[in-house]
Amino acid sequence: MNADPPAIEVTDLHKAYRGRPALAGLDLELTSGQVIGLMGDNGSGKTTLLKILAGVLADWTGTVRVAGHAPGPGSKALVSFLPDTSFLPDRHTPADAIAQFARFFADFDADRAREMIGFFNLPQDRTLKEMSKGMREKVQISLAMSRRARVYLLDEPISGVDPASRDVILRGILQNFAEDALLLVSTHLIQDVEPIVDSVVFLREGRVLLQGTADDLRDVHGTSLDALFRKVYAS
Amino acid sequence: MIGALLSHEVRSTRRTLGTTIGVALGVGALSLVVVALRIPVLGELGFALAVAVVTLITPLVLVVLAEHYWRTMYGREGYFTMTVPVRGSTLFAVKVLHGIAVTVGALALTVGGAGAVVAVSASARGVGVAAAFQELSDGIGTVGAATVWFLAGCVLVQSVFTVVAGAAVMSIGAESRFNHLGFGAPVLGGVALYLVMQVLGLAAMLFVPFGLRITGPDAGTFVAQGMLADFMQALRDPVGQNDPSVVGLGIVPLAVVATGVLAWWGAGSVERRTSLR
Repeated sequence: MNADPPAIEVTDLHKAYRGRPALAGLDLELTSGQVIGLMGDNGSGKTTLLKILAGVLADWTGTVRVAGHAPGPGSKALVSFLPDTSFLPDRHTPADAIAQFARFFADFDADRAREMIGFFNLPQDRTLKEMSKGMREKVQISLAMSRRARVYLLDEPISGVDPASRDVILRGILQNFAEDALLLVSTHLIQDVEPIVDSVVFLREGRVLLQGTADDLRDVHGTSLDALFRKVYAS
Repeated sequence: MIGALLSHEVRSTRRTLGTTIGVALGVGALSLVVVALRIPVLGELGFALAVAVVTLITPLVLVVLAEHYWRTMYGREGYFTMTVPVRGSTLFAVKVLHGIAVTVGALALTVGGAGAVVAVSASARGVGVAAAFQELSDGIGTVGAATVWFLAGCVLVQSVFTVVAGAAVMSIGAESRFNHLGFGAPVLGGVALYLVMQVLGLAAMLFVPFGLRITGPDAGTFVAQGMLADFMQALRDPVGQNDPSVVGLGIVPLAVVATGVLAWWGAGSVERRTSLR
C-alpha cells in the first residue's frame, strides 16, 4: 500500500476575482508519477488553479495541499512553477539565469540546465531581450525542468511557439522529468500534448468537468482527446 | 537564504542605482567646476544645478528603489521572487533592509555633496573654505550639538519611515482586492497615507508631551510638553500676541510607531495576501 500523500490534493476550492468566480468548489486529487494535461476553455480556471498551487495567489477558500504542504515556503521548495509570462530580467543571459536559480533553489541542477540550453540550441551570449519569444520560453523551461522537484506546474508552456518548436520543447520537458514526480501542464493545444499526457483534467467554469487517464477517455469516447475536447466544449 | 536574498538585491539594483547616482554626481561635479571657474551667469546656474542635484539624489534613489520593488514583487519578475521558498515576511524584510541601507548611503552622499557645494561656492566668492565651515560650525554651536544630532536622527527616522511606508503601500495595493487598479492602487494608498499622517501629525504635535522650547532663556532645550497649551491660548485670545513657545516634536515618535505598524501590515500582506496578476 502506498502511504505517500497525493502530490496534489484540492478540496472545495473557491476563488473569485471581484465577485466573479474563477474556481467554484473545485475538487482534485493527483498522484505522482504522471504527466497530466490541465485543459479547458478560456476562463475555465486553469491559470488560477496553477497560481494557487504555486503559492502566488491568495484569498481563496478550501483546502489545498501540494507535495504534502499547504501553499507556502514548504511547498515552494518542492514545486517548480513555470508561469505564462517572462519572469526573468531582460538583461540576463542564460548563464545569469542559471546562476540566479542556483542561488535560490537547493534542488536546482545547473549542469542539467546547461545541457537543456544546449539541447534547445540556445545562444549563450545573447540576453533574453535579444531572444525571440520561443527562445525565451525554452530558457525558462530549461530552468523550471532542471529543478529536482516533486511537482512541476507548467502554464501554457507551448503557447505562442511554432509547431516545430513545440515538439522540441515537449521532448525537452519529458527528457528531464523524473518518473516519481508529477507534471501538471495546462494548455489549450491538446493535439500537441496528447502524445505525452498520461491523464487529463478538463475544467469548466471553475470545476472539474471530466478527469481520467488518456487511454480510458479515448477508449470510452472512441475518439482522440483533441476531438473529445472540441465535443465537450462545443456543447 | 537571507544573505542570498540581500546579495541578490544588491546585484539586481547596482546597475540602475550606479547609473542614477553616477549621472547625478557627474552633473553635480561639472556644475561645481563651472562655479569654481567663476564664469559669469553660468556660475550662478552651475550653483543652482549643483544644489538641485544634491537635493535630488535621495529622492531619485527612492524612486529607483520603488520601481525595483514593484517590478520584482508584483510585476512579471514577481513570478520568480514569489516562488523562492522563503516566507513573505522575509522577502519584505530583506527588501526594506536593503532599501534603508541604500537610502542612508544616498543621505551620506547628500551631506557630502552639500559640503562640496559650500566649499566650492565659498572659494569662488573668495570667502575661504575654512571660514565657510567655521560659520557652519558656529551655527551648530548656537543651536547645540544635541539638537543637531536630534535633527540628524529625525532625518534617519523619516527616511526609514519613507522606505517602509513605500514598500507597505505597494504590497497592500497589490492585494487581490485592489490589484485591478494596477499601480494606481499604491498611488491612491500613498495619498491616503499622506492625509492620515497629516492629521495624526497635527494631533501628535499638540498632544504628545515632547517638544523643543524656542523662546526664553532655555530656548533650544527639550521639554515634556506639546503645543496644546499654546494652541489653546491662541484660541482663547485670537487677536493677542500668540507666538508659540514650544515646537511639538510628537511627529517623531509618531513616525517610529507608524513605521512599526506599516512594517507589520506590509510584511503580513506579502505573507498572506500576495496575488500576482
